[in-house]
Amino acid sequence: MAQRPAAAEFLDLLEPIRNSVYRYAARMAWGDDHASDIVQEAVMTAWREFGRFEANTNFKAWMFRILINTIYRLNKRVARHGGPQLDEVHHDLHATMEREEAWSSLMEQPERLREMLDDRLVASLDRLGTDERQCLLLRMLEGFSYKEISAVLDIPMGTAMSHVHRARLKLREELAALAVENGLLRESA
Amino acid sequence: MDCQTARKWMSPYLDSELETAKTFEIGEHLRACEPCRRRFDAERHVDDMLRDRLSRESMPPALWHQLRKEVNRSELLSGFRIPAVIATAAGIMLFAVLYMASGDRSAKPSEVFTGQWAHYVNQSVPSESMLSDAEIEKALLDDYGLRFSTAREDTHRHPVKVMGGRYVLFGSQPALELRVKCCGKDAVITTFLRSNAGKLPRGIQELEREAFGKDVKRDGVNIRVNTVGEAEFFIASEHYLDGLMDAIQPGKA
Ligand SMILES: [Zn+2]
Ligand SMILES: [Zn+2]
Repeated sequence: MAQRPAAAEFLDLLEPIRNSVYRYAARMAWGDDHASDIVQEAVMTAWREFGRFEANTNFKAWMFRILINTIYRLNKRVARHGGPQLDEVHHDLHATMEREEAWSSLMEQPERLREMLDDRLVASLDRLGTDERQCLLLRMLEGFSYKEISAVLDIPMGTAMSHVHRARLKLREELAALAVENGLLRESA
Repeated sequence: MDCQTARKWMSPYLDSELETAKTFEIGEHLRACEPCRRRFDAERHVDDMLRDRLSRESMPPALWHQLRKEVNRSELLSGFRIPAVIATAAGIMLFAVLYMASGDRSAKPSEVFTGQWAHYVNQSVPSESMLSDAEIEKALLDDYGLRFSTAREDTHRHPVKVMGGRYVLFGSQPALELRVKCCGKDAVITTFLRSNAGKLPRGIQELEREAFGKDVKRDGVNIRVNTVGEAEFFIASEHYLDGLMDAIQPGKA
């Protein structure tokens, strides 16, 4: 084990999470063609710092910390793309409950919705605020626990939880609005 | 538990982040309450849709090969961890780091294509950055689904010879560069994934459109662009290009 080259060890740890690293960068990068640059820089930084990684701890969380710092740093160099961010969820409970019922019945034909919203879904995700988007991606796509998210982003666990919650609410509101727009859902079913 | 409370805890419930007692209470409520059950299921569907959609995105194979190569190479060359270098662009940074690690400070890092075609084609490439023949063959096939044929019939009876290949940044995109020779002229074939073509710098994209399927001259160099399967390549040489073009074949016969 001691004789094993560090590069091989580093690459063995990186290989199973390489797609996660790439798609996270792709969703968080401001510039459209920016993900490869971010990944390159993040990986080379991680490799330089690899001596500080404690064996048998969570490599994915460690790598994501570096990745996220790289994203913060490099995003400043490019213009932000995409439209305005999603509005705050409005908390008219009655309207929300009504819409929820309609939404649930719509979800009984998820294939149809999936087809229609495939790309819109990603666009909606891209319009979430940075905090909400990163917490949702880390939780839902990458399987981090709230505790791990709190460590990776250096925020309290309760904050991580509420970002995920709010991201889900906003996404659903947005998708419901899209479905109405597309005639899949009547405004007050 | 009432509906409002159940829904308040929906997100952490779906994430399996609630303590046992609460999870149990919500489970009980869902068994009894159909609207909530449907509502929770709907949310799970959205999660699944999003996960499905986003999981389709994966690291381009050429980028992974390149990263692996650079990590291995930097360890090999330096024997110790490479120092941080401040540079303006991430791509430049990567190669600046390698360049410093290589100990060769007289030459500029040659791996970044600068848009100077004559220089790009005729420069001499340090042999230590070159891949072995077996690596070239494997990279062509695995990353781009191509093979390179030097059979005389495929190259219009010209004696095309592969001098070497390496990973480069073509504009900002990872690419495999083949250096070949024919009739004493150098030629460069720069191959990347078609899916990355839209991310090339604007200048290269303009040239790409102009040179697609036909020769265009830049700095006295002929340039042509073509695609095979998932791969796209630029061929540049003072030599005429038909024979060279035909040397690129689909990998699987
Ligand atoms: Zn209920
Ligand atoms: Zn020739």
